[in-house]
Amino acid sequence: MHEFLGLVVNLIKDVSVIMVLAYGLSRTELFSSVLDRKLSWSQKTSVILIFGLFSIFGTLGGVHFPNGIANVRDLGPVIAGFLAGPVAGLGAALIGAAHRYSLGGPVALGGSLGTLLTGFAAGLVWVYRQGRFPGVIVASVCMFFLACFHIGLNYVVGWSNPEVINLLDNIGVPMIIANTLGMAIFAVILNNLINERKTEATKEKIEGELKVAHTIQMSLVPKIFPAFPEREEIDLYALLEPAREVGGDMYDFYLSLDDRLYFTVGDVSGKGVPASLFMAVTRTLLRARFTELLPPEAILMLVNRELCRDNDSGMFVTQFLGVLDIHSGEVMYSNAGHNLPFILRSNGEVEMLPRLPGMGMGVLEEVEYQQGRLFLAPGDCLLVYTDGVTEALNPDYELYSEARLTEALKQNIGQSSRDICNRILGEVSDFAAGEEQADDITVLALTYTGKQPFVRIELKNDLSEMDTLARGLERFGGLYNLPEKLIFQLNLVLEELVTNSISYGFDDDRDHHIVIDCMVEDGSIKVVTKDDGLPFDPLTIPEPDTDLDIEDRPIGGLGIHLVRKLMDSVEYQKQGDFNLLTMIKKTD
Amino acid sequence: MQIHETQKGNSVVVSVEGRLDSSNSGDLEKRLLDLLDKGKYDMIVDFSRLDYISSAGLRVLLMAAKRTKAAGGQVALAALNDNVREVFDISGFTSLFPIIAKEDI
Repeated sequence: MHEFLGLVVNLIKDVSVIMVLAYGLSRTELFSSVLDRKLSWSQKTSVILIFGLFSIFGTLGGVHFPNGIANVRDLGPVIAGFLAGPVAGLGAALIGAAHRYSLGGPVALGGSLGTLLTGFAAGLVWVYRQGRFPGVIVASVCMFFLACFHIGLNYVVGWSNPEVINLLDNIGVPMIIANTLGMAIFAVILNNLINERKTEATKEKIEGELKVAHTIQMSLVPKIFPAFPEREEIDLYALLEPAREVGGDMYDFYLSLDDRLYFTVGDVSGKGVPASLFMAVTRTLLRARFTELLPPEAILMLVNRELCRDNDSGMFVTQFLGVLDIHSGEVMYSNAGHNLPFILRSNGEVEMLPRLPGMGMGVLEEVEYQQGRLFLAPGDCLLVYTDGVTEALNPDYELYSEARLTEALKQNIGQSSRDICNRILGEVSDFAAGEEQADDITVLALTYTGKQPFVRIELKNDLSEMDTLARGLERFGGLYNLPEKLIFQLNLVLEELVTNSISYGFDDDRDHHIVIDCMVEDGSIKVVTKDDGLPFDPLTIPEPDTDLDIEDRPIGGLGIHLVRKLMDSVEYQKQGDFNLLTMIKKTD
Repeated sequence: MQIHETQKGNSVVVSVEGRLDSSNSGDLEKRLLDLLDKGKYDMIVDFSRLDYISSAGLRVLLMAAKRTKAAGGQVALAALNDNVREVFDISGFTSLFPIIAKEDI
């Protein structure tokens, strides 16, 4: 019994050496090709040679008896067969067998023949499994039967020789144990390797997909600047720096046909692929609404409703949405829980926009959003950003904060929008000093250069539009701080003209538009009205006699009189299909 | 625009608030015609809370003035603000209507 255990231990020592070598081998490129089942002939030859040498080692390292050797010679060829098929199994076995045969002795024939057959048989397992290495149990069981077969064959071959039978009685079981154990260990090593490769492949796949997601996210935000090179009134720039590969920040802008610039910045709760998907949905919904020319609070309300529907993810997005009238510098905005933008006034002051009620979108369907209004004078800049800026951390875990941002903005008043954005990003990155960026950073700067600002009022040919006219003129008055009396007079004059056009200017049932542009030129007010009604010069209407008595005064005919009296000059022009009326009113 | 009527002695006081323009002058016209139909020929139109008026409003007032005068009554205007007053001046309406102060209503 003692002898038996000693033999097993000795053979296991051999097995251990082979396993160490096999482990080293498993880290080579050759092994990757084996597992990928893409062996070239030269690689297959290498497999044959290496496992053939293992086989020789299995013989040499074995325990030598007078009539033969207890060995693990079959281990190498069987592994080669399992890994690379019958040719490799047989090839490696041939080397081991030839070596054994050359050593001679009564079991030289049976031993080498056994090795040859087991190596080849392992190759047949490879064929049966279509090149996949068997699992730990199957490999071990196969090895067990192959080792049994090897010993059995030797019993058959050496049946007439009692010494051989005696030898086999002593070494048979230890050899079967050692070979089976060796195969089990190797199969475990290989299994781990295969799993490791799988994990690696999955990781690479995920990283690849993240890269694609990043590309898609970045393609969803406009990146070509200047965005509107032909519009000198606006200088717009924006940048987005995702924290991980992809994030939930977004910005977008859209210039409508009637010269209104929609611009928006949003921040989805969370990061990574889920946030970016939510962001993509939000962006698409917003885009669709821009083209409908709705006011910002209505857009947020509608998009919120759509986001709330079927939102099982519990995600939400904070969103700031502004609409700039690029002729007047008027900005209408609405805010769905987004952090408050700043205005950089050209006089050096930095103001924060007032807070408007309204929570992030995607939470409650019935949220109402409100409209805010502000004016950008030429040179003013509106800065909209996400909390990745103010909540950036430095190594001491301090926030970048709104206070630091305000300071940085003060330093950069008067710079181009591109410079402002890049400098803010630079400041934040200097502040973080290598600390990992925890959140996406988005900065959008909109500088209003306003070459020649004017307020455009567009009316339908309907008397109910008088309110629109009055509101448009209030806007104009607010922009230039005009006296109330002047706005009253302009309103009166324009109402008279517009009422005339609406009442007499159109002889069909179609909708028409009357466009009024109000501006200040050389200290005077200039108003240009344009309509596509019947050609009509209101100045041809005769002056009424304002001295007549009640009985004799005709009803009507006063409107154009008021226009003439209240304006300093009125000129009519027919321009193509349009009636064009240009009026000047001196301000003092 | 909002219109309120109160009786003051022999006169009916019609106060017009807000903006009187071509989109709503028809409402005032209807109210004044109703009063005329009821035989109210003495009217005081109180403009103390009127912010804006255009020729559409003047037209309604002139119509009412013609009808009341023919019936031996009159339309008086009360408390015109500066902007409104200018419109009446330019139109030559100041001489057509008796104009009184708010306190004299």
